[in-house]
Amino acid sequence: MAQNIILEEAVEFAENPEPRCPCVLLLDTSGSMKGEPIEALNKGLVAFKNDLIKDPLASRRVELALVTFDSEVKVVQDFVTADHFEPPTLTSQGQTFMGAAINKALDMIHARKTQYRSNGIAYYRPWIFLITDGEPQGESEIVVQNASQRLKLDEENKRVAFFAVGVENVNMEKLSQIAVRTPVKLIGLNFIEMFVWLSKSMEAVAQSRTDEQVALPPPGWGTV
Amino acid sequence: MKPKEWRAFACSVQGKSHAKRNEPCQDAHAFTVLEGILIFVVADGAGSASMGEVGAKIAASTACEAVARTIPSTQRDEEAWRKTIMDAVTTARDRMITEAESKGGLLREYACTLMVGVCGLDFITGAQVGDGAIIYLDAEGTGECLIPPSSGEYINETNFLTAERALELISFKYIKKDVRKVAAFSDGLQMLGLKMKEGKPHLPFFIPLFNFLAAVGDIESAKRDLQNFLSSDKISARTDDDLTLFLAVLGRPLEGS
Repeated sequence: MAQNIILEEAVEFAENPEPRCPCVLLLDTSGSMKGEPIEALNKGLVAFKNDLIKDPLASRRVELALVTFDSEVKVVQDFVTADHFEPPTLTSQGQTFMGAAINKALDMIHARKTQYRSNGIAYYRPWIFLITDGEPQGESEIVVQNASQRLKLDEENKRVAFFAVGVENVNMEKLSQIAVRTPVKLIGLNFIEMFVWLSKSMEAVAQSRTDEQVALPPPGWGTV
Repeated sequence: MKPKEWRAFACSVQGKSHAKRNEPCQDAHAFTVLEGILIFVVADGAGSASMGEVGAKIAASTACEAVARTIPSTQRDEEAWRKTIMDAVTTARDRMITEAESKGGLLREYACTLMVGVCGLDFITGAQVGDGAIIYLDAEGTGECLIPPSSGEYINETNFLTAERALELISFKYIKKDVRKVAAFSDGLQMLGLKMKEGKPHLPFFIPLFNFLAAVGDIESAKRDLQNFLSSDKISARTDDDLTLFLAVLGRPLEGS
């Protein structure tokens, strides 16, 4: 079984040797998302896919994985390139296990990088988009704190670029406490600009926090 | 019979992603042949820097001129070449600092990579900071990278000449070899030109190009052909970055040159 999986990987990476940009979409499907927010989210996923496949290189380079969180954390889609991604229709229910979901996303990214390296595939810095309407709920404080600390450490060490994205009516102030970067709004988010911005050649050495803050996306990327 | 001499050409073209956004081509190159010695420079302005294309132009022309001015009298002397080339890189960096200061800008907005190469009849030498590669073929047709490609964890992250520690990050190499063909290219062509895992050139990409250059009668029309090739769909399906390709072969001189 394990053998089979490794062989499949070889085919996957041989068919498409492009460098990869792993991207985890971390999606809030808790009860409070019912109605307009979850509809906006479902539409956003379709827009994300449509945006990416318009650019032939992005569609072969950006790999998407989908993780939903409510009272449980579920991997709805493991990493696939954008051209193979089928946006699901999500429903909302339960509480908001955001901390556990962040941990899951960081684990998945770590595992994916290991796969790239063993297959000789070059890659860009991974992204996580947390798309939500609110704050963690129903989890122990420890889980949330640990996830938040792990995330900050991973950001500082450039292991990941984490973006908090708010659906309409989100409390942006609360959201900015979770992420290092300024949160953005889902409506009008231009994912291709985002890809271009994130894949520009940049300095390899770690930059200071203030520099990182300066490196905000170009105008038109979304409302800040 | 006329002695063999270097026949060289180069071309920088704007990448698809830059063309779409009206961003300038941020690559630059310079080369010259002096006393039978081939000097070539490729610089790639950082996409994340606002004046990357200016930095790359200054770096390429300054470094090329500086090497040409200070060719060592003993050409088979590794240490003499090290001094010439490292001094040229420093001169280029100083010139960028002056430019940034005179415009009241930050040096890091001029960020670019830099490769400087020199080829004589029985040696190749050069220095590099950042990505891209210089590759060469010897008389037996064996191909190598002058300096093994190194990159950070992420493919789009590299070192720049503008970095504070840039002069410590430069790799220098001098190799005694009967070099017949040489190429230098910016990172936009790495996907096609390098076997990244082994750190070797991908020869099926270069051999037709070298053969083409060896066979052409008119260098200007050959340059146009190269430009068209680099802008073609075949290439742009694999990369949307700016591209620079410098090629040189040792051969019989062109008619009338």
